[in-house]
Amino acid sequence: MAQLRHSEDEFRRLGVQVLVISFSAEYWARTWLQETGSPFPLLLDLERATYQAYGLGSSFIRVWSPKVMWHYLKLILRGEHMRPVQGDPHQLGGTVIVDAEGVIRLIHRSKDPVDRPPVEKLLAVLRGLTGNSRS
Amino acid sequence: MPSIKPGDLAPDFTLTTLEGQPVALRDYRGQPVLLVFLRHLG
Repeated sequence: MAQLRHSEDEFRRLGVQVLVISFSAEYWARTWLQETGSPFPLLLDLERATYQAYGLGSSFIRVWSPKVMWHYLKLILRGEHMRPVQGDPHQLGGTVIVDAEGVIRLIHRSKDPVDRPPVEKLLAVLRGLTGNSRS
Repeated sequence: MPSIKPGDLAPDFTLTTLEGQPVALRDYRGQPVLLVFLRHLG
């Protein structure tokens, strides 16, 4: 999410609306918003209906893999604040680009909790949709 | 598990913000949308 926040101006320049969806309870959502100052609308989906509609999986093995454990260990060693997962700890996330006509142009279903497409890849697809070359 | 893929129409949804404001994907028809589904708020 931090990478997305750093690209806020570029999303705005491209006319892209970013929507962040979470299944966390409202209390944690408010805490997260206060701590991060995320500029994007945060939508709550406690039932995870959209996660299911977009085919985002839930996996015990992928969530607790050595790769993921190593990632979190590094964060802890860097002194970053960690919170317990709210809701289903095995629900995975994802990233989707929808074009102006409502058609899916990219769908990345996270294979594990740290699997996210690079922001540059997302921006490249979005620039292609909006006819913007990189400035 | 649905297997939607690029080229398919994005499933519409209506969710609410923390302020209780309903937001639908179709509200943004006419501009690209980046949907970020979080695993958790961390």
